[in-house]
Amino acid sequence: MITKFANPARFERLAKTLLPVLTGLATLLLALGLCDALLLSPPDYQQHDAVRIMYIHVPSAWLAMMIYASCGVAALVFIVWKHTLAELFMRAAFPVGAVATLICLGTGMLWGKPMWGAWWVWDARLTSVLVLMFLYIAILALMDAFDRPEQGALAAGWLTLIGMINLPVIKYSVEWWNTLHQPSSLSSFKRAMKPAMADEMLRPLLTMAFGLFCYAAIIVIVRLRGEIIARKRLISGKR
Amino acid sequence: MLAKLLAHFAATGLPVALFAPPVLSLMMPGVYLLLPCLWAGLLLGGLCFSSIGLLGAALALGSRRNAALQAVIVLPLSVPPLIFGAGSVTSGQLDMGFLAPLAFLGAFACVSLTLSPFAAAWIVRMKVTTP
Repeated sequence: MITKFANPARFERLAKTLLPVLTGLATLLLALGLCDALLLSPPDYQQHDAVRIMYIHVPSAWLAMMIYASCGVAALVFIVWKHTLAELFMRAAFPVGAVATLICLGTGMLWGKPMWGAWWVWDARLTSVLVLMFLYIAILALMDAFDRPEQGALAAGWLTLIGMINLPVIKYSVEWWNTLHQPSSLSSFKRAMKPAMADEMLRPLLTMAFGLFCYAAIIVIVRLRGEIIARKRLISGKR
Repeated sequence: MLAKLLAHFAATGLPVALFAPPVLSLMMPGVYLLLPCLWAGLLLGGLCFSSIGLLGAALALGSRRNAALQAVIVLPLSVPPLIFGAGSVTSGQLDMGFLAPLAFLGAFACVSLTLSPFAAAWIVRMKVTTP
């Protein structure tokens, strides 16, 4: 199955059909989600309107971790089978994940100041996400530091695999340690069936999350197309 | 790789771990109560840092801007041992027992010490063999 989709020509055809669908979905979901999040959903009984930061903070955190996980899979595929498309996917997706992490940290700080009274505390959740940010920066720096792109991708792929250990630490940091950050409200499917959140707040949260996922998928696909074209030029230029 | 790691640790981490706590306890009263915690923490932490540094050196091998790159790679990986090491001293000062953070530090040292030589060797071998 992997080899079937690892063909750039097949990817190009897939991208042509997927892009309009994803664009429509992202526009629809983000428009609906933003209206719902900013206007229709009720303010929190303690946090008032500041709770609306959640509708961008939580989806961007999910996105940051999902992109890292998918890049981990791509890194494994690249290291084991040397598929160039996996390398190009890493190049296309990592900056998007880094931006998602940055948004997550930034909105978290903006939320922390009014609610906790501090922009930043060194609790386990915040620190592990900061480590994720540093990992993203290190991987991006490593990827472009070599004369030959494959070597950079190889080193960055190894660092990606080593850094995968951080993902479960982020997820369970609020349960393993006593944190100021609140524990998860939607930690598993079992709890997602009966979440610790009102339906009127869950609905915009999930709409925004899926809208952002579609938006990120669009950016990654477009960037991946660019990377493929650039790599083809590099190869034909060398000959 | 393990030999290189241990040599690096013997040259940098070990002297600091052995001699810094007694010197510190001469300068600051009350530190001698935490001497075992400081010794164990610095020994384990030094081993963690040496094995992380081994990975960083292997990954940055053959790149441009080698030194700056190594610092960037090592930074995220060295945050956990730093936190647990500092945490053991803090909870020791508060009389809460420094063993729990030290156990985390020891676990990190065990994992990094056993895995990083193999990972580093593999990375270097792949870098040498890929055309």
